[in-house]
Amino acid sequence: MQETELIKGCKKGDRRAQKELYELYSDRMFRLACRYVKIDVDAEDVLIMAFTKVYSGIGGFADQGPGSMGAWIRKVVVNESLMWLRRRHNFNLTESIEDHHAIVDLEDFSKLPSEDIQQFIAELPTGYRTVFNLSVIDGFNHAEIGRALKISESTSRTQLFKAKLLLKKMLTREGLYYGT
Amino acid sequence: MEHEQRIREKILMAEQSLSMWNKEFVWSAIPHTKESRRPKAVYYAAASVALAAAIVFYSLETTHRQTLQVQLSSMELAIERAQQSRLTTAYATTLVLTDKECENPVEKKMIQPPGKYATRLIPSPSRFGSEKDEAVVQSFPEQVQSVASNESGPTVEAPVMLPTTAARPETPVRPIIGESWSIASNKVSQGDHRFQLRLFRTDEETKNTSSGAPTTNLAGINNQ
Repeated sequence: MQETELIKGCKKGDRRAQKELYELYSDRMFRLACRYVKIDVDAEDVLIMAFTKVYSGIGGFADQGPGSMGAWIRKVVVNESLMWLRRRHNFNLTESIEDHHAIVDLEDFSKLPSEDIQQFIAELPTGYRTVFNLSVIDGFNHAEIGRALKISESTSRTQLFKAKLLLKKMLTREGLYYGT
Repeated sequence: MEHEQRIREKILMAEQSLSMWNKEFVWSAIPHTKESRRPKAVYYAAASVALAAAIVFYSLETTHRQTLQVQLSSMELAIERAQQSRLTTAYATTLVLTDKECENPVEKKMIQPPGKYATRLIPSPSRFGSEKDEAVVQSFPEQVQSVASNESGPTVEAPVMLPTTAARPETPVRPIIGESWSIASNKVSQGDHRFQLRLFRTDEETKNTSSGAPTTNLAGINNQ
């Protein structure tokens, strides 16, 4: 079934279309939720709430071409992950006085396999990890991150800078650096 | 920035790979609704029907109220007319009689429409204070009574008047308060005085007391 037909079926409440939509996007959304909440059980809870909102709000979704459905579901899952984190964690995101930060080179980090990258990202503190996921992986700008986490743009930039520094330190600690 | 782009691509590729998790459990836990979006046409139709019903009801109520108002006003007008007609029958039509007509005021030279009307004969101002005026005045109550008797209606019986005088007792009594006397019928010694409270005494007792029976002596009673 094509995506447009899936959307029409889900709007009508067709259970078969809903199941097919779930099969199409559930694995990716589960891994996405795991990047934010770390634990698999918590990621499953996030997925339940996210797909509930998808099926209930799909009537207002306007199909804007291929990939628009996936991007919309992705946004819903990210928002549910952030809400879950806000309920259970205190980010303790510190304000930074400095407006300009040195650019941290992540070249060595980017050469790692995807599983190692995921593992290093998961070891970051909650606040650093959230800002890094939102900015680097999911492509949000600092203004959007500030609105989502209720912090200022400078705080968001500081958190990202600190996250990159920590990743580099973790690479050095592990001894995983290349070309040196 | 290209390093970050590379990191992003690797992560997104890793997300598409299969992983072990409770996929079916999560699917069963998701609440599924048959209709994710209810048609709004039903709500619009219901709202329009309710609005139309309210308008119809209000218009019917207004017309009914107006009809009642018209009926009420007509009834009030009829009542006023009835009251006016009663007033014309109650009040005597005044006729100014000349000297010749007042010679025999009992004879009724009345120029009046057919019907039973009470009339009051008023003499002309020149004859005011003469003897014949008394005859005119005297005839008025009779006319009124005749009118009252001539008017058709339920007959009212004269009330039975009961005598207002109080029943006279067979023996006259006079009020007394706290008098003491000797009880001669019991053949008690004269020293044995007993106090009895009697409110009234007959004439015989009065005569007996005047012959020498002890009179009221509250001080004496208290000392006993």
